[in-house]
Amino acid sequence: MSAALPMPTLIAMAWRNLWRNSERSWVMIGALAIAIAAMLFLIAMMRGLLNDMSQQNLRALPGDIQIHPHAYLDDPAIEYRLPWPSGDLRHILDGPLVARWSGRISVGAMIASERENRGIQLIGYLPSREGNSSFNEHQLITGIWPADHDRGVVVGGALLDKLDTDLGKRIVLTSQGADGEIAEMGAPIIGVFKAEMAQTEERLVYIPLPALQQMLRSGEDIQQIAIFSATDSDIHPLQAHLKNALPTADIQRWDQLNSYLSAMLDSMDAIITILIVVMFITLAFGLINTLIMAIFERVKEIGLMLALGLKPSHIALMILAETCVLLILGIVIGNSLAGLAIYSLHDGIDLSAVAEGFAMIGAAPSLTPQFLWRDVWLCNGIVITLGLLCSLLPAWRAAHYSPIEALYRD
Amino acid sequence: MTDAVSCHQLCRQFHQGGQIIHGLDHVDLTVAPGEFICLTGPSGSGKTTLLNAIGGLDTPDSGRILVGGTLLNDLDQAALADLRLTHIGFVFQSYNLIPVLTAQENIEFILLMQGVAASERHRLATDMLREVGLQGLGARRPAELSGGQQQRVAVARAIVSKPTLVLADEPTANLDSHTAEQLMDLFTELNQRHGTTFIVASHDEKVQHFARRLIRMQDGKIMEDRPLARP
Repeated sequence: MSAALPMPTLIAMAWRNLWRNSERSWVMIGALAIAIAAMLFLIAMMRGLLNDMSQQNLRALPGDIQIHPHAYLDDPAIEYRLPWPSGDLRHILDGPLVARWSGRISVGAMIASERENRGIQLIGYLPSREGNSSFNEHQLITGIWPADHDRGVVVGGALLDKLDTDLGKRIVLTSQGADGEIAEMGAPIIGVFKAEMAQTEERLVYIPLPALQQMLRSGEDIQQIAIFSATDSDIHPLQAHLKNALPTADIQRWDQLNSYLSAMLDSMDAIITILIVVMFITLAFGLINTLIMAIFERVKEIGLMLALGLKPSHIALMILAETCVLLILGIVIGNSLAGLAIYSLHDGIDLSAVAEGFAMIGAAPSLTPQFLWRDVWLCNGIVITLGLLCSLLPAWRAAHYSPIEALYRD
Repeated sequence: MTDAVSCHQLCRQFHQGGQIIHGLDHVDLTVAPGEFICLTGPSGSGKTTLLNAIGGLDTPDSGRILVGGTLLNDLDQAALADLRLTHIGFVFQSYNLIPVLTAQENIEFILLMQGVAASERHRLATDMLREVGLQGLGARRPAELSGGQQQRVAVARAIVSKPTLVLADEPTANLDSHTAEQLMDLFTELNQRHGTTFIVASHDEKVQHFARRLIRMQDGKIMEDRPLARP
């Protein structure tokens, strides 16, 4: 017959009970808040790092989908080539699922100045087809980006230093031609770019595709078709269409080409969940202790409520409400602290002192935490769920007191 | 008419320091609705044990208890809680108020659990505060009230929902004689006006003046059970 205690009463009682021992409650709330703030901040930093790695990866490997000749990915030599797209393939590439596409050649080569020589990755591309988010994103320090039919090369600032040469000077490129013979070409340096990662500057050299095709004696053949889909959701269907049109080629999404990064991105949520659970387990002991102590101090009061007619389940609900209030306070303060910390670093943290280490994992030397509401819900949801689970034991104990024993306990 | 309380051969033993103490020793008791009983006897005679058993707070080792015709032996904790909430009002010796609630909220607590609407709760609790002489003190928490005031709040809480049975354990023990008399007057009025059954355990001889039946206990047994003439 008895009605459950209304929620406002439960919350009001939980709130007042919480402040009966304010020092103990503040210690627990403080521990919760700091742990939640640290966790959210750490997650934002991890997201930022992964996001940066993925952006860097896309810059080094432009295109949502890439088509390569079969076996090219295992042995990126000039003998593996594709004809310039035509027929069904061209129809798909010019269709609505594709924002833009381009053909490229990417071969290993030697570059030599008058004084030095280096091994490089020579990339032949069509500037007019690459758009804004491709190679052209590299910041040009000096000179120009070439037009489609220019014959000059663009090198990184670091490579320019290593070669001990300068803008406007000629270099000699050497590689293996399509006919298996040595292929050489002299070309002027017409532009110098700056990349976020030093290894990109040292490794990549850009040249217009026709000039490289001529040097390699490969006709109109290419080695790579890079495709940017119209939307992210088009990537998978587009890949399927392309596989039908070109069954013998390797057609892979960017995440398939960089499986390490893709696996990291895919497992990020699992990693975050594990981190939060581990963090909370360390807090759980303190939380359970706080609740048990709070109940221990109120045994008589619990006995009284049972004597007055409050059901054991209502007593348990009251303890759970108290836990909820404690957790919510910790979450509100923790989220605010995390928000402040993340916002204060929204311009990024300068990590140039350890830039080489970051370059090794494919990240830029400036780290910007990435805030996602999904992470906030996940973190808070886990804290609330585990917190309530932790309070089940104290709540169960409180609900199972015998009213008479509790009432007359000293 | 169904008895307000009916006890048959109630036994309750306690173990203390290797000794067996008979809290209740084959107690038989029948209480008619509307009776006002004074339960008396020396400390340890079994008064509180009997009240706790009748209120469903304690379970006897043997015997049967019926309250308003309901056999308590058959009820689980939740059903006993329901019975206490709807039929029984408790007044304990040591006030026993909920410290985080104000006087008004303590009185409203029972009504709240019974699902009474907020405005009605407020009205009943305010009336009850006035009846026990605590008007204007409803916003105070127990720690801000004197012992006598706290006991009056406890009494107000026990009777606010007009229970059919009130069990009071030494309700005047910590009150001055004037407040004690006021309290007993209130009990008498409720008994006469609403027919509420009262079982009051007390050493206080003045309480006997208000009762109409006296039960004297010793060593867990009822030694004397006689009617009293009310002045």
